[in-house]
Parts: sequence; structure tokens; C-alpha cells
Amino acid sequence: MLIAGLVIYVGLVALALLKNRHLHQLWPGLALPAWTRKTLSTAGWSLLTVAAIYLIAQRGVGNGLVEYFAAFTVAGLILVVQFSYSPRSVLALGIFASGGATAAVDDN
Amino acid sequence: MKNGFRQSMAWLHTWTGLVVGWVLFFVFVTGNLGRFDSEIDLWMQPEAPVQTASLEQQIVAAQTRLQQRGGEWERWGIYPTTNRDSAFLRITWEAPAQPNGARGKRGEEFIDPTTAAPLDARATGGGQLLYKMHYALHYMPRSVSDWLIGICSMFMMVAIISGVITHKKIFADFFTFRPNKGQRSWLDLHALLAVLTLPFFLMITYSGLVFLVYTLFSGVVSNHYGPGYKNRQDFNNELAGRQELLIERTGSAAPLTDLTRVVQQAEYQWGTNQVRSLEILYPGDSNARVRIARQIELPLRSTDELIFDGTTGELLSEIPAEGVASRNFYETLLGLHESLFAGWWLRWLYFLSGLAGATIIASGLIMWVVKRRPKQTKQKNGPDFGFKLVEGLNVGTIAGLQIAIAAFFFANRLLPVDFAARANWEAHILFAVWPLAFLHPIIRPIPRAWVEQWTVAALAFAALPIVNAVTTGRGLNQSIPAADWAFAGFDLTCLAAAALFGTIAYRLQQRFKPVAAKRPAPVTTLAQEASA
Repeated sequence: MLIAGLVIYVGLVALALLKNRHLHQLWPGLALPAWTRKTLSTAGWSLLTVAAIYLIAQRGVGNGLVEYFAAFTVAGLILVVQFSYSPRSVLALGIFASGGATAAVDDN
Repeated sequence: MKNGFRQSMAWLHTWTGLVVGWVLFFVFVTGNLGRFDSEIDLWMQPEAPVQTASLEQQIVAAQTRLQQRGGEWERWGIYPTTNRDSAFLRITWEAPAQPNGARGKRGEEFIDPTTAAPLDARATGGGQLLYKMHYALHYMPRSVSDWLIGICSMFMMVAIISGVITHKKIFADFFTFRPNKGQRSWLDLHALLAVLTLPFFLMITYSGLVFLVYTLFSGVVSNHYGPGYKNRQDFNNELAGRQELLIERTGSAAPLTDLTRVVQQAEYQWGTNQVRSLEILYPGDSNARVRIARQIELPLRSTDELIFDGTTGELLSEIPAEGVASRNFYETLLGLHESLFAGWWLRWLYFLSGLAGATIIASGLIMWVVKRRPKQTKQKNGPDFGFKLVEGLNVGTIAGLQIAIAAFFFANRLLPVDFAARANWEAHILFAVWPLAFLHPIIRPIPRAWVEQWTVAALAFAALPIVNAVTTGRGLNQSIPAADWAFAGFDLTCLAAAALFGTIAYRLQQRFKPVAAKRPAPVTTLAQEASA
């Protein structure tokens, strides 16, 4: 579930960067080209889906979905607090989460 | 009538939310504490010995005690400590249904497995009572509370759906919280927590309603099975495929089989620590039946069951956890609501979602006031009575309930241990302190009332671990080294609550100070402050 939480977090970061309000908190004034936006959107939704599939495969439909929504709530909450009080830390945790999730998937 | 669909929904959301918001806040806070009802039970009976008895020893003690008590009973229940809902070995008994079909009188007792005597510990309603308040309220029969809670839940369902339509930007503003911007911040907080916990919020409300299905659709079973509790029980047994339980007494006495042998068979089939509960139908009759239920490990609340002949101990049938689709749906919703399947970390996340739920309700109630305050304070004759009423109810509910719950825990530690009616008085004290929190905003300006009540709540929760340490010798300095997590968890949660309430009090204090200083005209300031 921790792994799924990290994957969800990275997915949410990708989706949040599609919003100029949040993109500009990290890179003021930056305008993303269309293909980057497309990539972010695809990556974000894919990661959210992958996390759900992973949890259902690991824990069964019942427990898997419950844990998915729980992880989603916490990941989202952390991200919102970061954007409100310390936007720069999104990058740090984002990189850590990507690395952590990759390493954990490699281990399995 | 409002023009336009969204305006109509906004109106509906505002007023459905307001009318039942205070009750729902109480339901959410007490229900959320119920996620840890067994841990609170342990904390509220500090002198009870740590439970280490084997399952076999517990079953022997339970059977001994139930037989000692004597009498003729419809059914007995045995809940060993393998059961997530039982902090201590628990037995229950139920008299035959009354002639009018009502459920027979029930009773329960915690048992000491080493002596088979009632647990030698202070009388208390425990965490179970607090948890029970979220659906049964207090001081009223279930027939009344079921309808009250049912109606409030229906309002809540309407408020959730109309809320999603009203705040259509919640999905667009998904990641946005703008602090220190007055009404904007409240709206952000309200919408943000709602969208993050929407699946939980919908599930908990809808499943809450499903719990009350037999009340809200009162004829749904009785039209076919006849009125009364026993017929409902027959319906449930038939639905679950428990044909062996659809029997009557023979009236001839026969001794009950040795329950440990029955439990051994169940453990042989399922593995150790898999037995969750035993139900003995018609104990002492030759038609006695023993039903053993397995641990809940899925959101699906129904589990594998074994039904034995209660006199011979012979296995009669095996009931699978999954049955007909409608029952699976029902049991899954109830299981999701009760979260008995959740391990400790998922349980904490449930708790977190519940806190978010309480915060959504509280912020909605506060927003109603914040939105109307500028216009209300400019009125020539001061704010309307309705506005002041909502303000006062908000303070007394949102901050006051915390104080009342702290008082409940103080009562548990400070009422004399041998005081016979202490279990009732713990609840009486909760409901004696709470009204004071509603009276307080009448005599104090609202901003002061908020600050003062949050301060009292913070001090009370900070003092609880100290009072616990002094009265029991199981304070944090002992419980943490001993890995006594029920006690350590309770005390640390009190400290976290104290920190939260203290921060709120401090922030409010900071906010109200400059407002008073900046506005020089004393007459209007007083009027504004009194109504702010």
C-alpha cells in the first residue's frame, strides 16, 4: 500500500502540473508545450490506474479498493498541504516517491 | 424557488447541511472514536489484567460462567479476545422473544478467563458506549433514535450530492488550498477535504442508511415473514442458508456439549486464531445449536460459519462467507462501514477520513456564518436571532463536544471505583457538561467563546494523560517502554488533540486581537464583537 501511495502521489503531481496555478508555483511563467501537457496527463492517469490494478492484484478487489482510496486520500492531502505551504518540497518528495516506487517494484 | 439548477442545488446544499449539521457532527466524532472502541475499552478499565489466556481457556471459562448463571435463554454469545470487537472475553445472553414479537431482554458481561468470574474492574460504558452513541444517541429508545439518525443521514446524502453539483469547481481546484483568506479558505478546506474523501463520505453515509433498512422500510421483511425480531432472525438465517437454525425448541432438556471440542474442530478446519465468535441457540434444550463464525478479513462482513449440534457436538453444516448477491452487497456495505477487517494502519486511515468528515461538516456550518456575517453585522437592530442561534450552536457543538468527551474520560478516572452507578454517571457527566458549552456563547461574545472553549478543550486533553498516570500508574512513562499500545496510543492521541485544539485557540486569539484594535469606535466595536 505504501508503494501504491507513492505511485498515486507521483500521478497526482503530474496532474497538478497541468494546472498553471500549480505549475507556476514551481516554475513561474513557464508555459508547457502541448505534447508535454499530453504526456503529463497520460502519465498521471496511467499511474493512478496502475496503482489501482497493483493493489487489486496484491490484496484482492475488496481490500485493494479500500486501500486504494485510503492511499489516494493521504497522498492528495500531503500534496495539497505542500502546495499551500511549501511548493518546492513537491519536487523533492516527487523525486523520492518516483525512486522509491521504482526500487520497490524492482525488488518484487 | 431559486432560478437555475446550480442555484437550486446550492440552496438545497446550504439548508440540508445546516439543519442536520450539528447532529451529524456528533455522529461523526463519536463514530470515529468507535474505530478504536476496543482500545478505549482497555483504557477505561485500567485495573483489568492483561489478557493472555488461550482460546481454549477462554471458552471453558465462558461456558462455566454461562451455565452458573442458569435460567432459560434463547441464545448465548461468546466473544473471545480473538474478536476485534472484544477487548476482554465477553459473554452475552438473550431471553426468548416477548409475546408481542419484540426482542427478548439481553445482557452481557466481561469474564476473567482464569477464574470464570465477572471481570474485577470498574464499571464503565467504555469505548462501546461512545461508539454506540453515534447511531443510538442516548436517553431515548432505539425506535426513536433510528428514525432521527435515519432522517439525518438522508439529509446528509442529499447534502453530499447537491454539494458536488454546487461546488462544481472542486474537481478543477483539486489541489488548491488558499490559507488566511477568510471565506475563501473555509470554502477551499470544505471542498478540498470533501473531494479527497468523497468515496469514504458517500460510502459511510449510504452504508449508514443501509444499516437502518429494516426501520426505514419497516415492512420490507415483516410483510413476508411476520412482525417481530424472531421472524427477522428467521429471514436472516434463511438468506444466509442457515437451515439448521430454523428450528424450534423440543422442550426436553439435554446438556450442552463441551464447547472446547467444537472450537477445536473449527480451528482444525480454519487454523488458529480464526474463531471470532460462538452463538449457542436454545442452550440446555435437546435442539441446541452452536454457530461458530470466522475472523473478518475482507470488507465482506459475513464470514465462513460452522453449525454444530449443541448436544452431540456433531458438525451439521458449513456456511460459506459469500451467499446470494443481495446479501453480499448488504454485508459488504456494512463491513466497509464497520471496518472490522482493517489492520491497525488502515484503521488509522479510516480514522483520518472520519476526522476529515467531521471537519467538512464543521467548516460547512462555519461557512454559513462567515458568509452572512458582513450583512448581519451591518443591520440596524443587530444580527437576526437565527444567525446568533447558529453561531452559538456552532461553538457549543464543534468546540463544546470535545470538552464533553474529555469530561466523559475524566469521569472514568475520577468517579469512585466502587460507586455502583458509575457507568451511567460517566454518560450523565458528558451530557451535563455539554449543555454548558451551549450556554457559554450566550453570555460571552462569540469570538471569545470560541477561544475560551478551544482553550478549555486543549487543557482538558493535555491533562488526561497526567490524570491517567496519577490514578493508574500506567502513564506514558510506563506504557511506552512496556509497549502497552492501547494506553500509549490513547494518551498520545489525547496529546495530539490537545496540540490541535491549542493551535486553533492560539490562531483564533491572534486573529481576533488586531480586529478589535484596528477599529476605534467603541460602540460599534462592541456591537460587532458581540455578534461577530
